[in-house]
Amino acid sequence: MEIDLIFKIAAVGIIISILNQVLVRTGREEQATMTTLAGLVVVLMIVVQRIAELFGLVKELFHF
Amino acid sequence: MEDWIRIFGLLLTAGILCLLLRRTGPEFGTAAAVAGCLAGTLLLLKLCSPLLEFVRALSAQTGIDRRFLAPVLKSVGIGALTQFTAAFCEDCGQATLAKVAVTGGTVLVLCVCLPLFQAVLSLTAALSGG
Repeated sequence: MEIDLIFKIAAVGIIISILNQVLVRTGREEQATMTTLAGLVVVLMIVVQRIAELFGLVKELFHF
Repeated sequence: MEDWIRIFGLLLTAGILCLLLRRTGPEFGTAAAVAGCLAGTLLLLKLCSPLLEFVRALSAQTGIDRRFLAPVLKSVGIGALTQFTAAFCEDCGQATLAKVAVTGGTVLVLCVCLPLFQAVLSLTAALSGG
């Protein structure tokens, strides 16, 4: 289901934001930055797979 | 009809989630927007496949050479991907990258359509007796 992808990314974003806030409030800015970076990498991995799928579909449909 | 409703629902949900995520983490908001665009485009392209099959069948029935139809279809594909990439770059606030993507798409379309231009040129030369 396509909507699962968006919900998955939103869930990762919300969790990372909460973790980021908690870590910043407790004075661990470096760890907060690293957590945000890790979350971003996870999200990018998901998105890149879908981008590859889109490119494959376009290649298949338009006979490249 | 159900597919269209599904696409509109998906895009609206993605838009609302983007608004929510942009407050807490702007990079996740952009990622959610890209994911929404990707999901919508994938569904749309799957809906377009019968249309493309019809165009191919029509060209086979009317006897249009596949050499001449292929560049047209490829140009449509390149245009769709270029538009998507440029819009994504603009969402990220990178207008220069978007312009490079558009220029790249234009050059690619010109390269793909080169056989068509050559065919027109040779036809013109043949008609004028050159």
